[in-house]
Amino acid sequence: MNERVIEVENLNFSYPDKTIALRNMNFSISRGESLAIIGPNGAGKSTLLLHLNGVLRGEGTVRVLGEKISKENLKRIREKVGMVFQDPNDQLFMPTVFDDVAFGPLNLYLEREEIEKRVDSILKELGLEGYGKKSPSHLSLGEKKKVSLATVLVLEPEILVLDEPTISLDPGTKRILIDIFKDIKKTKLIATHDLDLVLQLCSKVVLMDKGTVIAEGACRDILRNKKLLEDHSLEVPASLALNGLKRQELKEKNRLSFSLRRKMTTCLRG
Amino acid sequence: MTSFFFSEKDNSRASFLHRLDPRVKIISFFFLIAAIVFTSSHDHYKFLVYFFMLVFMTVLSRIPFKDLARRLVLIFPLLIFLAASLIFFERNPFSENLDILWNLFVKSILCFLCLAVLILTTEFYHLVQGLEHLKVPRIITSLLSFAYRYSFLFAQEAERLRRAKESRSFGNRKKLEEVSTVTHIVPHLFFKTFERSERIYAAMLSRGYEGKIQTLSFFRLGKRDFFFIFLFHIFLSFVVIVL
Repeated sequence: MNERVIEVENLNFSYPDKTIALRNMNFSISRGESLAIIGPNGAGKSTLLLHLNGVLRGEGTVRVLGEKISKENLKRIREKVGMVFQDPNDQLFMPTVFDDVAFGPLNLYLEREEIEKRVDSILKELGLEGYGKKSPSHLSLGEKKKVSLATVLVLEPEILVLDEPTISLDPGTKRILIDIFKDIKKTKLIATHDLDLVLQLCSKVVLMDKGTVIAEGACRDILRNKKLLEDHSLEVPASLALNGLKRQELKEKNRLSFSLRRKMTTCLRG
Repeated sequence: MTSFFFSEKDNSRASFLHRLDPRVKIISFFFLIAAIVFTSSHDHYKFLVYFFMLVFMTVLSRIPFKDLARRLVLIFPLLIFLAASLIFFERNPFSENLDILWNLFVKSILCFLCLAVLILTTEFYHLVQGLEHLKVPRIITSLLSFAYRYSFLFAQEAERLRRAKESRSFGNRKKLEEVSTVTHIVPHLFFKTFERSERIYAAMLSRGYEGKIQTLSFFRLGKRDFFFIFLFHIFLSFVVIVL
């Protein structure tokens, strides 16, 4: 359980226009763990994710499954780290759903039968049977998100990296996707603003802002810290805030009933 | 625009022509277009035969003539522009200009009809895969494929920008101001497209892309394909050589 599958040490990255995106980032994730990376817009979350499969290469060390990312092991690393991008329109670039899901396995030079088997099985698993011939451009956002996930799961990765997986989704579709994520028993790393999603899926949270780690800890400890969250343009998730309100209401009720009981006792005695 | 031009419905079972292997259709129409282009402008009856061949194929494939005519409209602005430039800039005798114009009009319309019948009976991605199988360079087929896939998004983005502009212009702008706004929208669109292309490339790399797009093909030549190739090319050769 304690095997570290991703280790990021002193990672720094600047874009060509000299914008500093990551400053001295440090964090790690253990096998089977679900880690959330939260932070405001422009915190550097997506930039960080692109370092985890070597699409971007900053200064510092990124180790995946014990291997330092280098030119030689890029292919192996990308096979192990499945990345689902924020906008499914960026991820689905092939003319049909089948071609898109088969894109990764084809690049692994798998056998034709194996590719067909894997594609059919993953589409079935995600409730996308019969979608193979459809063009991704004609799908709804929820369907596109599911197909994006299929394009990655078909590679059978060990680590699943999700960038804003529930952004712009209606509550019903969001619930379906969260249930799917819950069923995936892999190491998960989720970059998001959606703190309710974090509460449901993650055990550990890394809060980052302006390209650096601000806080790291157990999910509930970080998400209950109102000041910390508000200082970084976030807020306590609705479900936790409601729980807090309920507890306060309950306390108030108990206090009232206690004072009423006392008054009645005094009256009766009087 | 793309949906206006290309066939997007899965109509692979709609007719004999729809069911043909895309490679067979591409090769056949390529030869038909070549025959049209190399026909002398004075062989009017040959043009008539080509025209009836296309009408026959349209009827056979059950394409509504309305759909064909709608697409044909696209070519007229270009033809009118070419005709005008010919009349104003070429100092040939009138009869010679007329001959060139006839040649230009009849061949362009027939070639365009060929393409329209081809794309109305073949799904776009089958067309691209067919081209790939016929050894058209992968860079070209990939470009076609991406252009098609993202044209919808590009159109949506352009429409969103136009609406945003409309909602703030209150309908009382002058034509010149409209043009200047459009000139501001176009670079914005190109910038967005560039950013998207960067993200798509990152997504491709993440799934093991190493410079070569690969696809699985399900094409198999059947009896009907051989039958069509045989008949089509025998008839075409007869028209070109004997008539």
